[in-house]
Amino acid sequence: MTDLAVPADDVATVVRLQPVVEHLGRTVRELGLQEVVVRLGAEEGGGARLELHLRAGGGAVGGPVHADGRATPAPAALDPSPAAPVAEGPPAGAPATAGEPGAVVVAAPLVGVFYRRPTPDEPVFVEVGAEVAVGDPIGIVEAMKMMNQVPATVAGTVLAVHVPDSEIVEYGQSLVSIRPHPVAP
Amino acid sequence: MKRVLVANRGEVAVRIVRACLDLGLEVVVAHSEADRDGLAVRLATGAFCIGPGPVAQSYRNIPALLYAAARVGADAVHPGYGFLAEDPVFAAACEDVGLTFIGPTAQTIGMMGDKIGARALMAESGVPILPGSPGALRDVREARAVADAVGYPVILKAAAGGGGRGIAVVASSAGLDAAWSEIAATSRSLFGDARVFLERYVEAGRHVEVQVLGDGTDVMHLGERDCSVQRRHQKLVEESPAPNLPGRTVELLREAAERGARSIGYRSAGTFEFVVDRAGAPYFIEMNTRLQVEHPVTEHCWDVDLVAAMIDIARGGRLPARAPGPRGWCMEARVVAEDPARGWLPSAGPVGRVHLPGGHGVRVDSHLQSNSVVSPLYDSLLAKVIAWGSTREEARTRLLRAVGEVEVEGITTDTGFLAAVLASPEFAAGTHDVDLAGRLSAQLSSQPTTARPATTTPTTTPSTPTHLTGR
Repeated sequence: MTDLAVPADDVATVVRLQPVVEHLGRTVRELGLQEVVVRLGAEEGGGARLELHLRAGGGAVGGPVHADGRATPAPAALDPSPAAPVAEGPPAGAPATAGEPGAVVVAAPLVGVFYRRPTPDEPVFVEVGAEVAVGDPIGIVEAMKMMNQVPATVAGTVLAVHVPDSEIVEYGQSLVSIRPHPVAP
Repeated sequence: MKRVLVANRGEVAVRIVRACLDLGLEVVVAHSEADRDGLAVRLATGAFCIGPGPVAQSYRNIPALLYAAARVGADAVHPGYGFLAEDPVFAAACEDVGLTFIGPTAQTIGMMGDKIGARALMAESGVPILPGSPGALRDVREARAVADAVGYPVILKAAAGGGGRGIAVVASSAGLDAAWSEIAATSRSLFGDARVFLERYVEAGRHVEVQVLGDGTDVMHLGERDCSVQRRHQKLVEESPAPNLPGRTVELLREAAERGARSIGYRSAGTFEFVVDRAGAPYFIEMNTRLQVEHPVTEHCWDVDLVAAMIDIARGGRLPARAPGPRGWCMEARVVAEDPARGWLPSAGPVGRVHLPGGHGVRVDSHLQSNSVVSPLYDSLLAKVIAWGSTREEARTRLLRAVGEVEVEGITTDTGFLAAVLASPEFAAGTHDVDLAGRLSAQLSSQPTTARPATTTPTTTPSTPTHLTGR
């Protein structure tokens, strides 16, 4: 496989690659991976190829993923060196999930005030140990008087709630960690 | 004032972070997801991610910035230039929540951001303006009548335009209809304000601007900058003082700028832009109510830190004592991620090794880091290379040397073009006008093999690294 063969001033290609790499960044955070290796290249016959090797602990957990040019471009660090790690572990503000490398982190989708309850008089959406299904609300981020419910992205057990009630959260800040239920093979 | 929030990115965020640290202030950078690993974030006391890469969701997201200020405990905001720097809504929002906006009042920003209102206001204060329409033009018929009265060529401008956008030069009456449709459409779509006005266009004019500082009571000028090296109304090389200006013109410029600033009780750093015709007569174009990209050339000639002065004035301080100036000469060249040989095509993407120049009399303001990414989402400005000397020639030679040192592996920059400008006989003699960059650029695309500076390699990939230099 040829290493990164995208001309650096090929803006269209760079823009197409960005969502993929951004998705990769999110995967790194959510899965608490140790290392990610990116290989970009051309296939015989002219197709573009993006390989992602995801490493948790010792072994590779992910195979090649193909660039699919999804939705809105959002940039992320794209290291031109094909063997270099793109990101390591969760970023600042996303506390390590107590030795749970498989934990999924639900991140703030926007900047605003995080609420753990639907209204001040009601019980919290989730406590540590609660079982959640995909789409269950884990909290609310309020911005400009608009209440944005934040859904669980995976079914599992809540391991940690990282932000106290009524605190302002930054974009992408870890809100809760969930240990996913094992998936039937 | 204890903690400043920087509502910007790139080199100006780095510039503001450094000024805050020099003043003993804490400084937190509000950044997008794309700039998480940026130099400003690295150098600052703290950072807060305000949203994903696209600017509407991050750098132009007023609620996110206000939440950021509240969360990090900032008591002041510096908007830099671009983004929200000249948005009266943002300045007013900061004032409303008790945040010190490091800049002029929301009212001043709104007043001067309306080019038609600003023009009328300045004319009233006795600042010279070009003949043109007294207000917004109703339709193309009125535009034609005014154009006939003032004489061609004329320039059509969007009332809310800026940054070189929303303007069109019309050479003769034949081109008026097309230009009118274009500017009327862009005014509405780009600025949400369809008002258009018209002025006589000064041919072979020079773009000269005057830096001012005001504290709400007193104002002072800090000399001129010549910004005549422009490509499609985007500045590429700036210098202070302006070369070969008659002493009388300098007096008129400074007097007009101080008079204009005083008439609006200006607070903070601002710039009065003028066009100077071949007879040496200056005419007011617009006022920028913010820090200017090219502010460093003034800083060296007048021995003042303009960002520190803005902060000081914002916390109730008075104007700094003016050092006798200008001392020597200072020039700035803008290194941008664009390829002059390919019609200035943006050149974004991963960057490998970076070398920025140094040495005596050289300053580089940049956010560029080795092994980083130049995002296509933002401005193409990578670095400002600034050189000063006791004479213009010393500054020019030094800048030419420094620009040649720039290496940005992986993307194409304009350093070869900048070197061609600095080495051109007109620029060396200081007799150039606003058409110089356009002429050199046209030569470059018509004769790519001979006119392209020898070592400006068009395209590279990390697998075949080539250092792009202007040598």
